[in-house]
Amino acid sequence: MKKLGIMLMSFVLVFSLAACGGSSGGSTPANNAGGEASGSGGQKQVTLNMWLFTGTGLEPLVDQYMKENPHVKVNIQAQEYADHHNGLVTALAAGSGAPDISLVEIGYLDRFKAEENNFHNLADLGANDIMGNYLDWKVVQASSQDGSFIFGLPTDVGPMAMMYRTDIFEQAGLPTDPAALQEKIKSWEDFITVGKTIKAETGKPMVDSILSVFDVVKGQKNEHYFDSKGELIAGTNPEMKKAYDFAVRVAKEGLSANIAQWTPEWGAGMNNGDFAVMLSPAWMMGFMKGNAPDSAGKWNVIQMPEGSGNWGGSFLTLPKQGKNTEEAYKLISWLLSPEMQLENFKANGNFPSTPSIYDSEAIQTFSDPFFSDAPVGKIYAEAAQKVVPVYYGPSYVIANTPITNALGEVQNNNADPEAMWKDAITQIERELRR
Amino acid sequence: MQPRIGTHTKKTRKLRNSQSFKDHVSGYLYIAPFFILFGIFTLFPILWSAQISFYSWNILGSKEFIGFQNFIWLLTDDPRFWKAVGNTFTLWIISTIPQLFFALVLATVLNQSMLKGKALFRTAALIPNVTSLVAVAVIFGSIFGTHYGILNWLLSQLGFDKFNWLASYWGAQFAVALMVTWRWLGYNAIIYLAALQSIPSDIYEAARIDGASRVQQFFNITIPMMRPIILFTVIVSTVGGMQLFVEPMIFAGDQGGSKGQVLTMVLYLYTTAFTNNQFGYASAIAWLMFLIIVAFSVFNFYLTRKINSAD
Amino acid sequence: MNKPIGKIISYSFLTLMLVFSIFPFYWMFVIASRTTADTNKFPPAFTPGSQFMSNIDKMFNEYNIQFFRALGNTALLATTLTLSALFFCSLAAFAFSRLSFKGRSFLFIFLLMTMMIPGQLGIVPLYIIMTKFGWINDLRAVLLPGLVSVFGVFWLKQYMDSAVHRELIESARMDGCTNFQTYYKIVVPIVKPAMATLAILTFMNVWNDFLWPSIVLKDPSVQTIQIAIRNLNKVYYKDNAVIMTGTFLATIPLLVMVSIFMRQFVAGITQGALKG
Repeated sequence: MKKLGIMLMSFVLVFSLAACGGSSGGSTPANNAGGEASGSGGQKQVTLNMWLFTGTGLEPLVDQYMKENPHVKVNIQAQEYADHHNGLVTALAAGSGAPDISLVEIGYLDRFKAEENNFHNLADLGANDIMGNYLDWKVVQASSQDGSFIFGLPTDVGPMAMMYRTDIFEQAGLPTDPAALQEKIKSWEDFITVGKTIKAETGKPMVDSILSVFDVVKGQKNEHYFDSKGELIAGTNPEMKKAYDFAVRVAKEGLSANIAQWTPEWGAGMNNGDFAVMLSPAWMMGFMKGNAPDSAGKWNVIQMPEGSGNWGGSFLTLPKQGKNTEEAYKLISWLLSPEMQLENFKANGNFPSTPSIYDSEAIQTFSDPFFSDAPVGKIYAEAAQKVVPVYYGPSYVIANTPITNALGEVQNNNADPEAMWKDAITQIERELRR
Repeated sequence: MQPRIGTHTKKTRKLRNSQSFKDHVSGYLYIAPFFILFGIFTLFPILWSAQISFYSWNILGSKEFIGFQNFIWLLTDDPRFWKAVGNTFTLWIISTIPQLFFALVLATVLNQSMLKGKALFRTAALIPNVTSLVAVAVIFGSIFGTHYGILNWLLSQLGFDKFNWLASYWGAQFAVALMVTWRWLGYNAIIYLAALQSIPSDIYEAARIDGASRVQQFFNITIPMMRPIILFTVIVSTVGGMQLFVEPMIFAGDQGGSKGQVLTMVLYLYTTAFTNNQFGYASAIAWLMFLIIVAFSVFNFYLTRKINSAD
Repeated sequence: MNKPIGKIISYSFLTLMLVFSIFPFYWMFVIASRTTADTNKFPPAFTPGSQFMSNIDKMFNEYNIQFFRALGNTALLATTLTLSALFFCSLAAFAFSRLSFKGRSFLFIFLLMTMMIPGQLGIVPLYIIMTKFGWINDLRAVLLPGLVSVFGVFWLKQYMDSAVHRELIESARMDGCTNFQTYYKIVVPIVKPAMATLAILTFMNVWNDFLWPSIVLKDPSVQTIQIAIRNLNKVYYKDNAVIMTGTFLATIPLLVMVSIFMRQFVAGITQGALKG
């Protein structure tokens, strides 16, 4: 045991030396207190805590802000996406520990909307003056149902377009030129027709999974599972059933490759051309390039039929637990101004939520040989302006999950779609009452 | 059991009394640090969740007291919960039992005195447990993939159709059980190995001289000598198996597959709490689960005792 | 088992287990030495590629994680928690196993029962406690709750039940040992293998734990290695090759530690065996 103890001790020593520099991870009270102290220049010294998830590209811009405003010090604490949101939910539930500024992704924002008193209403800080800078539908996402409460300022968006494999389309005897193909796929009905042709001529399915079709078709409607009063309409909203039935049809016609997203097989499918189109948001381009390098130059891009769609995108919010509200607001309104969003797009490709810069050269001329040099910047800018505002509702995840599970069963196990739909609605009702 | 009357009675009693007093003082003192830390950081949160189970509480909003309603729903109108209970038991059976069996075999082999490179083999046994979950997810995804999976490739070489492992009930159960066995086999083997060390080697020596076969030695020496340890592994693996959730989650997602093929009790608890944010209901799940686990552990405990004493 | 046949069977079994255990770990290195797209290849790539150094370079220069700081934090936590688990758990186990005091069985059964309650819900109240102590972004928030474990007490208690005979305790008392001396001089040496096992398992658990640390340790200066590695996941793009590189590098020190412990474990056992 003695030997063991000595060994352990020397191990600690070696590593605490390797860790080097500064306080050995001990207490850093300023980090969570958001402390204030008066600086020498007369202007009050302010420390802001900011929680981000990784990959937003906001860090260097914050550095720039600190340089321009020496009285502000920002502690950025960036974490993996899920860890970040779990941490925020925990801090809000516990009633303390939340930062001055927190990034919130759209998938979580609606859950937070149920309880306004966790966040500052940015309308009280003058946000109404700048909300005009952002896409209308994004403003709807950022606000309460009646628009009086603004939860956050919009960061990036994920407008959707249709990437298609020119090699497969050519083999099927279909046009490969974007303008001609756009004419051919104007509606979802056309989408099925083209899909059938491809299936017949090449044997290849149209899409990766019917779930991605369902998401886009559904995303083109204003109301999904809840109406504007928050009442559940999943079972009665004809649009939802239509989207569901359409996805079922894609499965029944054999137009789905039946590959789950985010699996190694998904990347392999993209790489090998196992499906003819990818319904992909702007940010997916990086993923495709990294995971499917052999398909370089084989993709081209057109708009979605019957509108567009959005996948992802976030908001910078000010939790009530934070201090220094004024300074925090100043920082986020600067950070998310059209000019700074353009900087972020140039550096990281995160698509801006401010339409005024869509005409800028950086976006208009943005293209990539991977996507056959198509003007993807221009296409996504156009798509972003066609997105419809959707009212999701705080319990969106609870309602959406049983429906997507039902579609999964139809696709994978050939389950009866009507019975699955009925079961899903029952399950939603059961889960909502808790 | 000492004689009450005798020549040394007075002395013995005095010694015993003072020893008993000392034992009380030391006993409480030695478990005190444990109970203090445990009370603050484990017990308090547990009691808190007991209270929460009587509320309807979306974690970010206000609480509403609803009495036993959560439990009534769970018992009478929640097919998903009962599916999770069933899955937890089938997964327990098809993963824990082979896992403990092979762990015991592995430990016995590793325990042989003639074995060279013990430290290497023992470290290797623990590697699955230290391999990061990210890697585990990617690798098992590559093994069980429908289109490009290694298993399906083998099947197609043998002339069979490709099989959608994740979508089928038994396919998913098998995959998760394999993953669990792979990750925890070495872990259990190391525990057994330490336990085997507690048996003095001269007992085996004596048995061998008496002509006992290896199987006889195993059943007549190893098993009885290890009784407390076997009890330990039975309870720990029961509790661990009942609380299984990481492997199903990384294989089939937080819904445990589109029809809940591998949805386990804790996975259901986890999504109810952290995806749906329904903490009141999640707490009720936790406490109902607790009752199920206690009942099952007690059952197992008596079963083990019976098997042990039957020898 | 002195026959060569037995030896061959044993070694073949072990080799099979070795391959079975190590393959995913090896494959992690294969991906770490290639590009992300190679994860999606079919048939999968089985041999290491040439990108390992460039992935390491990417990880340190393109991603903003403090790898060595995180490694230091983790080593500190894992070592402290292992030592404390050994001390507190063995002391409590000794009391439960070999000292008789009122309420002993009740307290012990009570401990076992708490093990059967799923702990996931404890996160919110535990977080409240930590904010009250002011320990958010402080290693103490991970340290204090981990100092003791029911698993450890239960394990060592059962081990003592089977390995430490009452006669030994009695004779120690006859020799005038106090309870603590009995614990330290008689019991601890006997349960060495069990303690080495507990040390290995505790060290591994702490090293790999991420759920609770990710919630209380947000600041880069206090993050543990698992959190730092998770931060290699970018929201819109996950570079699997870089993630695997980070994961691989983070596992190496742990493996070194485990094999050192193992050597100790084996040595301790041989000693014990000699004593008979």
